[in-house]
Amino acid sequence: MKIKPRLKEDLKKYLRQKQEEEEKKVTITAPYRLSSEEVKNIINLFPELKGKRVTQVLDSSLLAGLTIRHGSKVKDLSLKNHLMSLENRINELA
Amino acid sequence: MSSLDAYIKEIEKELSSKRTSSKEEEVGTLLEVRDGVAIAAGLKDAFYGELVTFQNGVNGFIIDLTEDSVGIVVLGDYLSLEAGTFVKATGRVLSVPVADKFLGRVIDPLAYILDDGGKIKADKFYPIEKIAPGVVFRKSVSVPLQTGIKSIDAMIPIGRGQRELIIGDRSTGKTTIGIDTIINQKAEGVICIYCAIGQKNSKVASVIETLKKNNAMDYTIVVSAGASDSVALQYLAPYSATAIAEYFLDKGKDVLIIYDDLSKHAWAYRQISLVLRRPAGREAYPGDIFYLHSRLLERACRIDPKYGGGSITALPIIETLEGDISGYIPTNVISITDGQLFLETELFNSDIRPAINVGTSVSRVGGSAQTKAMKQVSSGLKLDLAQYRALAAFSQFESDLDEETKKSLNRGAKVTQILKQKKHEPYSLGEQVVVLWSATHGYLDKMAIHEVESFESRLRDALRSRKKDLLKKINKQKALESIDEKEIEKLVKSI
Repeated sequence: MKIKPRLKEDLKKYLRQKQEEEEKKVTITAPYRLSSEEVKNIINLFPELKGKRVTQVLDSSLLAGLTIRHGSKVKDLSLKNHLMSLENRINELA
Repeated sequence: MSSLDAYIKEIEKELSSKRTSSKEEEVGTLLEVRDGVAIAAGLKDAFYGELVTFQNGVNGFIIDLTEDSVGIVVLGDYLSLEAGTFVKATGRVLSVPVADKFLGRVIDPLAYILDDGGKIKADKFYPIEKIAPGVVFRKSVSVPLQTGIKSIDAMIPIGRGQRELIIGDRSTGKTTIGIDTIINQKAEGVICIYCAIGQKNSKVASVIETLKKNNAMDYTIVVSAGASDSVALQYLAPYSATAIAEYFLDKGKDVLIIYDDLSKHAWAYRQISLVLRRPAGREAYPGDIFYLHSRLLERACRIDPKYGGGSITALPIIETLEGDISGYIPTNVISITDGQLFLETELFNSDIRPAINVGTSVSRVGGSAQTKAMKQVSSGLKLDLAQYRALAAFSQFESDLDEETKKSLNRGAKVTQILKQKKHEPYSLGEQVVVLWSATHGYLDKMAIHEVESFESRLRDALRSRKKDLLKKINKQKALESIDEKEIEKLVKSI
């Protein structure tokens, strides 16, 4: 099935638009719902997150702490991650 | 119980040391899983060759960076990956742990232990891909690497820091030359690494068995990526082995690496490139197949003593089809190395083993990698053999020939016979010098051809039992004086 070049261009533009929207979005994953006050404090800690739309996702497997995802970068500040890296360090010593 | 206490103390020390864990990481999502290769979206700031970890713990490294996706070679079970899995970039270049304790062990290209010894703690991490030392750091090759094989050490000498290609058809004795060279390094202080790429596991097992029997495993490391291992491991195996060699090189040691064999390495890289949809060139190899081998073999060098000294000697092996040395990969590697040893099936089948074609084999380092003693006895050998080959067609008319031709034919036949050698029986420098001395000074000319073998073994036994001092003297001084020659003459005459 041959795709018309015009259609291909439009699809590419749409894809790029969606990707840029992804970039501008900031996703905070936490084990419980955060209040807007807490979200504001977190955003103030990291200057590169200023002025971006924030979405929240609930994930109880994180145990505590949170992860902040913006674009393709992630800051993993959860307890689950901390425990996993602890496990790795102890295993390396063995 | 004390080991448990020590362990707990170490954990406490480790936990009390502050280590920032809140760093930013690059994340991507897995889009496609192909044969050994995964394509992921995201990972926008990842770099080429970076080590990445999938959500289920499998590792990989980045080999392709395109506009909106990243190609990752999976170093583990790619069948366990699902689309949508998260991929995290570690920010580290792919590296292999190195330590002195690896000597005597069998490992895979990521330094996982394959034999049944214990785990090894890494001393350092060396990057698998590294740019070769520049021109300023190098010194020209002048120290010989004794292979223990008469025809090589006499006429096609190899030096420490040289790259010498071993090329031939299947079953012509290529691996055997490599193994015999390793066995001969026992008293030389050279560390050996045998890198098996895509070989049958049974073959690697028999190689290890041979090395153990000849007490060569104490100074050898075997890096093995067998035929059933993933293509990624076969691709990484020679680079990983070279990284381990560079660890010893940085300590000023001399290292010998044998890559067995680079043809299968080229096949593995071709598979990865085709799965990544890179454009196929001649024989479906990708365009950078030359760079694949040139960057590997350039890392074998001799370092100037004022920058630490040490050397890496590489003996790559290439398998040809039907003796065709003008194939794509053979010509590539011939142009990279400092010489080649041609092994021919016809010579092998005529019982000339090692089946080295002395006429077409070359060592571009040549005489500078020979001791004075060897130069004294081997200077006439190559000419004798060349004359013999030129006249060989006439050997069937033996009764009709003049004296000169008959003498040349006789001498050539005797020299060919004396250069034959059994496998896994390397000759020390002293033994080689004495045996070749007897050949070039005409003591074999009067014997029948079938008596040469027994003469040689009697001479060797006599050397080992009665003339140990002479052997030691030649091995140490590496030159022949006239009193030594007189002693050799007396010995040869008495046999």
